[in-house]
Amino acid sequence: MAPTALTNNIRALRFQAGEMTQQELADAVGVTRQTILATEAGKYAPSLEVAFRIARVFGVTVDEVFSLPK
Amino acid sequence: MIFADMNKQERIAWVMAAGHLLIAVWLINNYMALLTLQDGILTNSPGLLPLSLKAIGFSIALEIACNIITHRKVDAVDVDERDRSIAFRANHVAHLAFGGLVCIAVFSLIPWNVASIQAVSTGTMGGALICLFSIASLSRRAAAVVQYRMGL
Repeated sequence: MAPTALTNNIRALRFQAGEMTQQELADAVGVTRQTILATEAGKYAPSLEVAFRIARVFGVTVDEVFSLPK
Repeated sequence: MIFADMNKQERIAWVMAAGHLLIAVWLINNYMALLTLQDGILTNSPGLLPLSLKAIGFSIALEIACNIITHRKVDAVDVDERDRSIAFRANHVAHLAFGGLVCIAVFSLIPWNVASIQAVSTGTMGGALICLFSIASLSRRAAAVVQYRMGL
C-alpha cells in the first residue's frame, strides 16, 4: 500500500502557530493525534472534511496546507 | 513504552489479535487431535461439537468485550476516520483470507484422495470451517495492527 501522493505544510503551519503540538491540532480538528501524525508524515490522506478543518484551524486555505505535485 | 504511543483503537487491535491468536491455536490444535481416518473417510472422534461451541463462545465473548471497550468514551476522540478506514481495509483482508482458505481447503481434497482419503465427514468439514473462520478473524486484527504500525 503506497503512501499518499499529497504533500502538506502542517509541520510548518504548526510551527508558525506558536509551536502548536500535534495533540492540540488533533483536538481542534476532532481526530486522534495518530491521524495528525500519519497525515503530517504523508502516509495518510485525510478526507476533504478533515482537510478543511485543518485549514480552518490555521486560518488558511486548503491549498496552502495540502498540494498535489505534478 | 510502545503502548503509550498508541491510540485506543490500536491498543484494542493488539489485544484482539492476541486473543484471536490464542483461540485459533487452541482450536486448531484440538481439532487436529480429533481427526481420524475410517475406511477412507476423514472423520472426527467425539468432542468436536463441544470444542466448536467453546471456540465460538470464546470468540463471541471477545468481540462483545471489544465492542463494550470501543464504545466506552475515554479520550476526547476515540474513533476517527482513519480508524474506520483501517477497520474497513482489515475487514477486506479477512474476507479475502477466508475465501482463499476455503478454496485451499476444498482443493486440498484432490491430493488427499491420493493419500487414501476418499471423503470427509460433514462434522469434520464444519469443524474445519470454524477453524478457517477463526484464522480469518485473526487475520482481520493482524491486518489492523500492521496498518497501525505502518502508520497508514
